[in-house]
Amino acid sequence: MELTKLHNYSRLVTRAAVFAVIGLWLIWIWGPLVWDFFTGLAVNPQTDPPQLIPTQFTLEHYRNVLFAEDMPTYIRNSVIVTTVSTAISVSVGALAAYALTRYDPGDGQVSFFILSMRFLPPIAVAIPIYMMFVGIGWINTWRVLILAYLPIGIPISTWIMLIFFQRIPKELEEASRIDGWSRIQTWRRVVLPLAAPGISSAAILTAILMWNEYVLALVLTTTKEAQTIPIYLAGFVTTRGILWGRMGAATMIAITPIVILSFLAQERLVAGFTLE
Amino acid sequence: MARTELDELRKEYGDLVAVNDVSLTLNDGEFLVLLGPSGCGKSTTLRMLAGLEDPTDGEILVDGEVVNDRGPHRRDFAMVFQQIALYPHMTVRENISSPLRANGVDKDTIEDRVQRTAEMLDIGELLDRKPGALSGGQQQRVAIGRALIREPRAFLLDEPFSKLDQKLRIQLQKELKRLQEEMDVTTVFVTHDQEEAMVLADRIAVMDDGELQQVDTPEQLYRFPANEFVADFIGNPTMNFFEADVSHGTIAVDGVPYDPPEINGHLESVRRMAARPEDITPVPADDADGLVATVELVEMRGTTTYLIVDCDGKELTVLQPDEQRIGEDDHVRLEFDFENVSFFDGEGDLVRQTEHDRTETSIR
Repeated sequence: MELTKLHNYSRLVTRAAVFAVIGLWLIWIWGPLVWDFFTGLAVNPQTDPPQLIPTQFTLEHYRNVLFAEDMPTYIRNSVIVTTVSTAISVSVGALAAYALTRYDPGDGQVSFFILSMRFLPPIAVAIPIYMMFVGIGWINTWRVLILAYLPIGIPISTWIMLIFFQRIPKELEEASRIDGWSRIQTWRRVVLPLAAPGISSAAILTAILMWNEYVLALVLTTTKEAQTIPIYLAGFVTTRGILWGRMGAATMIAITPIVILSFLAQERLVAGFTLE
Repeated sequence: MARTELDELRKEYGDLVAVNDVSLTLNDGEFLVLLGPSGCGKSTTLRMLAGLEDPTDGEILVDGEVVNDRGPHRRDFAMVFQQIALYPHMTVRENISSPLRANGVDKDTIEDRVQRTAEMLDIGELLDRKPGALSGGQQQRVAIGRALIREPRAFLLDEPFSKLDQKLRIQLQKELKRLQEEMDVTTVFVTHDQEEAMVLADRIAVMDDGELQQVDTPEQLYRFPANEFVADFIGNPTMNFFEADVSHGTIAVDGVPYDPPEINGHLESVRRMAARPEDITPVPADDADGLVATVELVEMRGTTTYLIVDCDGKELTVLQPDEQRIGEDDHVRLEFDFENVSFFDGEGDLVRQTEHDRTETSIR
C-alpha cells in the first residue's frame, strides 16, 4: 500500500520535471516571438526593452510597414530570390543525390566534398564574391543573390535528399525496368513518388535558409531594389534607437510565409523526418 | 517460344572474376535451377540475362539474336527478386498490372488479366491493398503475379523464397512448379538451397567460384556428380569422402584394401572416392578386412535413420540398415556398394565406370 503510494508519488515528480523542462524549452523558443507579437501591437513601445504585455493595442505599426514603408518591395525581393534559388537547389540537389546513391564513383568522397563546401563561413566568401560581381556590375541584383545562395542551397538539399534516395531500394527500379519501363519512366513513376517527402523536406529547409540569409545579402545588395527581408528588419535598429513597434510588426509579417509553407507541408515533413 | 543461350558469358569486377565464361542453353519450357553457394556468380549470371548487369565479355542470344545491348525493358523477361521489390506506393492491382501498362495494353485486357492472375495466385482479396499491408507470403505471391501476368519469354527468379519460413517456402515451391508446368514457360531459378533445386528443377546448373560445374537432371547430379565440388554440394546428408587407390582389381580405401566383385573402366587415375550414406553398409565388426568405425550418434530423420560414425578420427554418415539395429558405441565394419560410389582423379574430376555410361552426357 505504502509502496504503491510512493511509486505514484515518484511518477508524479518525474512527470512534473518533464513538463517543467518542456515548458522552459517552449518559453525559450516561443518567448521572443510572443514578445515580438505584442510589441508589434503596442501603442507606444518606447521603453527599452519594451514591456512584454502592452496596455493598449493598435494596428498602426502593421499599417506603417505594409503601406507607408516599402516592406512589400523587400518581400517581393525575398520571394523571388528564395523561390528561384530553392527551386534550382532542389532540382540540382535531387539529381545529384540520386546520382550519388546509384553511381558514386568516389565511395562517399564526392558527397563529403559537396558537404565540405558548407564549412566556409559565408562572411569569408562574401567579400571575394562582392569583388567578383562588382567587376561585371551585378551587385544589387536578384541574380547575384541567387548565384551566391546556390553554393549553400545545393549542398544542403543534396545532403537531405541523399538519405531519402539511399532508402529507395535499387531493386524497385530494376523491377520497373524489367516490367518494361524506360529509365526516365522509372525515375518518374518509382523514384520521384518515393522521394517526395525528402524533396519537400529539402525544399522547405532550403527555403527557410534562403529566406533568413543575412550576411551575403548585406554585402551584395545596397538598395531596396534587391535587398531582402532580413536587411529590412535590421534597418529598424537605427542610430536614434530601435523602432520596436514596427520591428515587431515586420517580424511577424516576415515569418508568415515560412510558417504557412511549413504547415502546408507539415504532413510530408513529419513523414520525411521519421523516414517513412 | 524462344531459345535462349549464354555464350561464354563473363563478368569481372576489377580483379574479381564473378562469372567465368559460362555457356548455357535454356531449352524451351524447361525449369532450370542455377545452384551454388553464395558468391558463386549465379545471381550475377541471372542479372546479366535480365539485362541488369552488363557482361564484361560473351554474348546472350535469344533466337540466335544477340541481345547484349538491349536494356532490361526490351528483353521481355519477367523477374522475381529476393527482396520482393513491390512498389510500396502502388496498390497490388497497380503492381501486378505494371508490366502490361508499360507495354501499352488496353484497359479491358489489363483488368481481365489482373483478375485471372489474382485468381491463379489466390490474391483476389488483396487487389486494392498496398504491399505494406500484406504478409511476407502474400507479398511474394503478388511479386510472382507481376511476373506471371505478362506471358514473358522467360521467368527469372532470384532466390525468391529464401526469406520466407520453411512451411510457406515449400507451399510456394509447389505452386510455382505447378504454374510453371501449366504455363509451359522457360524458367531460370537461382538458389543456394540444393533441396529446393532438387524439388523444382528439370535441370540443375551447379556453379562454383564463377564457373559452371555441371548441368544435369537432379537424378544424374545425385548419382553422377561430375566433380568433388558437386559431390559435396548435392545431397543431404553430404557424401563421405575417402582416399582411394585402385590397382589389380583391389581398391584401397583410406589405405584399407577392399576386393570389389567387379569394377569396370580404367580406374588407374583414381585418387579419391565419395560414397553416399546409402552406399555404405555398416555391419557388426568381425574378423573380415575393412574399415572399422564406432557409432557416435543415431540420427532419426522420419522414415530413415542415419548413423554418425567415427572412422579413425573421420566423421562419416551412413544409413542404418533395415535388417538389424545398430546402437550408439557399437563397433562396425563398413562395406561399400562399389557400383554406386563415385571415383575422382587427382584433379577432382569424376572417373567414369563404363557400366554407368549414360544416355545424357554431363557438361563441364
